[in-house]
This record gives sequence, structure tokens and C-alpha cells, in this order.
Amino acid sequence: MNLNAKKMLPFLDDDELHAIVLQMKDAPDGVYEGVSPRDIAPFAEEEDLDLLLAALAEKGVFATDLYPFASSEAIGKAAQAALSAQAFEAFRKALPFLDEDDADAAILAVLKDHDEIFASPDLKIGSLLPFLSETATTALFFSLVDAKPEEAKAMLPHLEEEDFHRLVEEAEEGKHPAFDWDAAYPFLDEEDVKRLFYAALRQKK
Amino acid sequence: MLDMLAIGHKIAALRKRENLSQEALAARLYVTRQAVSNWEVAKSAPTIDNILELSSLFKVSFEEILCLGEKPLYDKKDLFKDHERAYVLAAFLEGSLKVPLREIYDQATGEERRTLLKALKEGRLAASPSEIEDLLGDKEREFLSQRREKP
Repeated sequence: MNLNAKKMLPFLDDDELHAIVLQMKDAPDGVYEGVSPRDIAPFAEEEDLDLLLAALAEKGVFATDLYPFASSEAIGKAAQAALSAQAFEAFRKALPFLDEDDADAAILAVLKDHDEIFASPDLKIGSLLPFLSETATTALFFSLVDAKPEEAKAMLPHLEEEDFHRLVEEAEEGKHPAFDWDAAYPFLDEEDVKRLFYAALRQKK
Repeated sequence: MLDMLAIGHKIAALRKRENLSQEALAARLYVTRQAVSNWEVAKSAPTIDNILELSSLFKVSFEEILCLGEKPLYDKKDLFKDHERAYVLAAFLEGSLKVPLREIYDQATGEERRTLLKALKEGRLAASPSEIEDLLGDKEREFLSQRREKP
């Protein structure tokens, strides 16, 4: 490979590009002979870019320039790795390129083993919400309701009726004392409102 | 969800029944006059404690202040009149407000229309896009025709 490797990229065939990708994935920063993931992204095949994205993510290098060209599944795995590594910007940038299923898989996997990551002040939950399914939103809300009550409050308009039933049930059990119930009651259905207010009355006695 | 504007109107009516000014009510509850004013126009919501104190002060149940069990009345010409807009939208989406999609869509803001279109696209409304065909712009038509597909 000569020094003009970058300029040669548009003229290389798939096998030649594949060979470069293999070299890049073994390079510590993903750059080989001056060719970066950003340079090769428009030319290499999706399969190769998926391979590169995954290999770099394993090393903690998040090649966000590959997102527009890689598959949703591969981006999802890279996003999960980025979230686990608390590389929040790399994670956030992945979201618009993910199918809802892949976004869910990334979030739910990290929630399962490392829910404390979502309590980080550097992760802005509001920026995730437009990309999450109801399932992921619910799981995220209940993981944050104690750890990050202010962020959980901002999620209230995104919750479903079943989530509110569960929340009120937990309030009756005395859970989530730091949560802002004053912000929650306008979203509840009539039955849940009554239960919440009676719980408040019981606490006053 | 609760209709905070109806609740605000209820608080105002109960306050007037007791011949209290906003300022006098505020003093009884240890809040500012502005807070009472904001509740009455649904700019902000009273806390749970405020509602319980109002209930005690006006000698009515908290259910009455929160308008629980009351059937909301809608003006067909202006569905959002005298109600919190989010409440009307939620009532339509959950099916308790039974009007043709066209009627509410025609009166909705841009953001409310997007919520309605999303619900329509996800099959959560017993309505057809053809009901609002002539009210749709190009972007809205495009949104309805888009499908999220796996690559």
C-alpha cells in the first residue's frame, strides 16, 4: 500500500477493500496507511463495515462515521458497547440509525447488567426517548425512578397506563419516596388518582 | 389523565363560592397569589398536599376538586374549549371522546396532528386515513406511507 491509499479507494474492487478492512480492524485506532473508517465507509461493502465497526467497538474505538453505512444490527451492537463503556456521545449518535428492535436490544442488555450506567449525569435521557419502544421506555423509567428522579419525571408523558398502575402500586407500598408524585398525578387515570391520594392521606395520619 | 383546566375552573368556582379572592386563598394555603392564578388557568398544577388542603378548606372531597367521575362536556365546534388540550387528545386516543377523526384533526395543532397520525399509523385508532385525506399535507402523507423495515 502506497501513501496515496486514500485516493485509490474509489478505484479498488471489493476484494481489495476487504483486505484493507482486515488491516484496519487489527490496527489499534482503526487507521491503516492513513485510511480511516470515515475514508473507507462510502466504498466498502456493508458486511465489511459491520465487521470493522464490531472489531473496533470491542477495542473501545467507536467509529461513528460508519453508522450511516453499516447495518442496524451491527450499529446496535456497537451502540451497546459504547453505552457499556459510557461513551455516551457515540451511543447517542447511533440511535437515529437503529431500528427500534436493535435500539431496544442495546438498551435492555445494558439495563439488565449495568443499570447504574443510566444514572450517570452525563447521559441525557431525554435525547434517547424518541428512539425507544414502549418496552424500553418502561424499563428505563423504573430503573431511574429512584436513581434519577428528575429525569424519570420528564419521562412521565411517555409512559403507558400499565406503567402508571405499577407506579401507584409501588407508591402504596411506600416505594420511591424521592419521586415527585405531584408531577405524576395529572397523568393518572381516575382509579389510580384515588389510590395515590388515599395513600397520601394514610401517610398524613 | 386529569383535565387540569377543568380542575382549575373547579378551584376558581369553589373559591368564589367562599367569597375568597385569589390572594386570600393563597394566604390560607401559604402559597403565592400567582400560584393560585396559575392553577385556575392550568398553567401549573397544585401539589397533592394543596389539593388535600383545598378539600379541607372548601369542605368537599378531593374527588370533587379533581372532577373525578364527572362526564366532560365537549363543544363540537371547539373540542378543546374549556379543557386542557393534552386531556382532549388523550381522551380521543383512548376512545372516551367519541368524535370522527376528521373533527379533532381539523382542530388540532401541528404537534397534536403528528400524535394523531402516529396513532393512526400504528393502528391504535379505529379510523382510516381516507377520512382526513383532503386535510393532509405532502409531509403528512409521506409520514403515513413510511414503513419501518429491517434492512
